Amino acid sequence: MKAFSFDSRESTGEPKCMIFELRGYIDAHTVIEFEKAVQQVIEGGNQNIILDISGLSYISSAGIGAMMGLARKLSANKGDLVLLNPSTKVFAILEGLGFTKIFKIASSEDEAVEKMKGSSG
Amino acid sequence: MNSSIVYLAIIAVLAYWVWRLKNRERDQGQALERIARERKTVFMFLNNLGERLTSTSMKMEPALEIIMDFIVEVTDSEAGATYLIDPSDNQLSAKVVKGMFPPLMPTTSYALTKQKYLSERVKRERIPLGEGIIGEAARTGEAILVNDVAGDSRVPKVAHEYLTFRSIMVAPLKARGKITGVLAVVNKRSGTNFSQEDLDLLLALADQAASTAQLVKLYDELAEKQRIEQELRIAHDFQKMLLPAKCPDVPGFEIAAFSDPALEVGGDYYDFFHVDDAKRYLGVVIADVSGKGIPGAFVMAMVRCTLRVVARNNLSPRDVLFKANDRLFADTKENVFVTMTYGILDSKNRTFKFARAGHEPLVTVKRDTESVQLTSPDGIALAMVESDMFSFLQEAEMKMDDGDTAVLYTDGVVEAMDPDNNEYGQKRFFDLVAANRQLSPKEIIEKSLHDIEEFTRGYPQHDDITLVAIRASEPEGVSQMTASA
Repeated sequence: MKAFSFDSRESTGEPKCMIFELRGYIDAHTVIEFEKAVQQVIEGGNQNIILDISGLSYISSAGIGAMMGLARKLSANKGDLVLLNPSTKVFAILEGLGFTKIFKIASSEDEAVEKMKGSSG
Repeated sequence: MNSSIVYLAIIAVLAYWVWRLKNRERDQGQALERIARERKTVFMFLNNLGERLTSTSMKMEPALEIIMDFIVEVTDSEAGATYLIDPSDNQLSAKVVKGMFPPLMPTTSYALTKQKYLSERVKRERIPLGEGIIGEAARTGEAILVNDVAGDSRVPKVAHEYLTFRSIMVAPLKARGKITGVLAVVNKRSGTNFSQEDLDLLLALADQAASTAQLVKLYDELAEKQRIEQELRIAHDFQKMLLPAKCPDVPGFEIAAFSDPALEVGGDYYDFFHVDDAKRYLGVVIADVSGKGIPGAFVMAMVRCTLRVVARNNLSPRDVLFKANDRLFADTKENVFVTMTYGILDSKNRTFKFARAGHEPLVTVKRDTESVQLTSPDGIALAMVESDMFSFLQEAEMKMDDGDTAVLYTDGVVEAMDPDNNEYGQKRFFDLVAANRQLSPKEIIEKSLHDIEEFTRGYPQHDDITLVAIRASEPEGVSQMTASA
């Protein structure tokens, strides 16, 4: 299995969001791939990003740092970041860090798009 | 010895090749001129490319620019583009565009009469594998030549007077048998059709272009990999330097600590310092800095220094972390954060007061109970949020009676993996601490490391492993009793 891979697509609901489905794990090595991919989307003008992280088995602090950096960058551009479907394990990691208070987390795509609206409206 | 054999082999192959070409040229009188031209063009191309690649850096896009310039020139085309397949979604996009290359998707914009806007527009198009002439060449790996554009549904009909396709040639880029993209050139400058000969030339150049692109890509990846590895090595040494040379002597306590940076430096550290001049209070730090490589190591040095400064004569761990967060939030990049537990060991009252900035819980075990107690007061990692949000940080205080042990650890301990990707886990660790509660901190750490090693079976770890253990010493008689029990 590849250490890290992803697919991206546009959401069906409004506002238009870019959804990344992440798979595998994010550590200090694979985080570079992740950062490059989202950077391209941001430069392409899309500032609303949903990360479907249900397929992530593990995320190291480097990965969480990258997500946090992404969230800050997006909100500076009047966009937003929503995390979709973290596994119990990834959620526990985020909770331990106190980050479930910072990140917007949703359990369905509709809910994620809804939470996105809340910020841009 | 080996290299001379290789040289001989290369010379033999070249000699055979030249001999074969000469034979072909002699035998096939008519084809002579064509082959000569093709060969000369490929040599010119390689020569040109070699010269320019050494003078520029080995980067993908400049290399493709050079290749495309050359191809447009020798095929006498009005424009050309190199499309590469994005492996993440199997779509093609143009990385390099030369001349007035018409967009493949319909557009009505007049700004497109300017080459700059046009190239940008063409580069933004994303073409699914199999779609249109570009997508088809990328899917089948076959070259395509179309002179009758009107009768070919694969070529778009662009309703723009300056931008029409009259003729188009595409050739796949193949590296090690895998299709990585497509070269396309459009509209012969002389106004005539592209010939089979033009297509053969494009194919020969596409072959060279693909291997060059592959080489540049490998070089790029290698350079990045080497750079990362070297950074990690330097950071590793630097990180070791920041750790205390030895654990402090505190009357009535035994203290031990250990930190082992993994291959991938996660940025763990621990620290001890006296909070007050009277040396009654000992500051105890365990932390995990999220940054990686050299930047991560610098952040660690900064965190360590910041904490030592703000902790001075301050008896509230909560307040110390609060002040540290203020400074670190202002001074660090947005993707860096630090989890930390900071505690103050009061050697007189025998208490350990601590606050937890998003770090793992404090593990304590009483001399006479068989299970550990976990304490995790609320808190958020350092350097991530401003003080208003950080302020829900709480502190907790533990009484350290004779024989009680407190253990601090980083996530690298419980997330240690075996070759089958199973985690060492909290339960196994806590059980081990509880079972060995009567041992000294040094022995508890040694037992833990041994158990982790046994579990991971030598599998390389991707996070640092750091442990700090503190035990309230027992009066002499008691410890002898437990030792003999």
